[in-house]
Amino acid sequence: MPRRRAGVLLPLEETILELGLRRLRDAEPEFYGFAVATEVDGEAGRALTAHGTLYKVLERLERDGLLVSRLEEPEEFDEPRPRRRLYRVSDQAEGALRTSRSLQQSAVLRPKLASR
Amino acid sequence: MSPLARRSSRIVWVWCVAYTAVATPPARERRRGEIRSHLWESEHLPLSPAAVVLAMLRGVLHDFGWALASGIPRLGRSFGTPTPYIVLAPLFPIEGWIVSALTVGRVAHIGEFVGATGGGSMLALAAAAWLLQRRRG
Repeated sequence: MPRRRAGVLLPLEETILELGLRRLRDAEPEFYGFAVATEVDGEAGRALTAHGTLYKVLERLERDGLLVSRLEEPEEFDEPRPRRRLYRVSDQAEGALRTSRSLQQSAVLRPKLASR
Repeated sequence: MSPLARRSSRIVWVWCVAYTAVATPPARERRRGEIRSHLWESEHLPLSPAAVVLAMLRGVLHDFGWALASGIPRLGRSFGTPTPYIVLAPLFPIEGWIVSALTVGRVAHIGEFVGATGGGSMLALAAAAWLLQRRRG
């Protein structure tokens, strides 16, 4: 995973927040790890996202206050399956994503200005 | 579910149980719950067994990092108790015996010295940790 710069989100973190914000707009705000993996892989057209990477990033985003999670209640589903941990983006997520993008853009523009 | 899919899920699950063993109970339960659910979904989509194992393998380094970050504070606390010293004590004479059997000269002497004194030191540390624990109540 690339080294983290203050305020700049990693590509997978950005993808997860984008997905969460899209879900929020579609009035289906909650998502879970496997759904993220399949959606990310479908979009990027690559092999399955590594389990270790995905769940570490989800935990970190929650620790940073950009996601909130809860464990699914048994009454919420009929089929016999393990309970999912459901995530949703917090109020800070959109701002953090915007900040990250602007920081990345300024980092790209700066070398160009220096070369003039 | 095919036997191959069952086997690949089993491999991922055994790895998950192994690296989460050092973590604190809440962190361990959370990660195991996530992987349990993830494997169930993988089996019912269904994903190819090779893709499931590959997804695990590609995340092994992050799993190690996660396990270290979750387990080190716990490991540090455990050194305030006699248990790790008692576990380590018999390893020193074994180490002395192996080094003495396989090497000669100065290396053998150092190995023998560590083997002869290390076990006793560990037991002394275990006693000190036990006394400290008792004093703290």
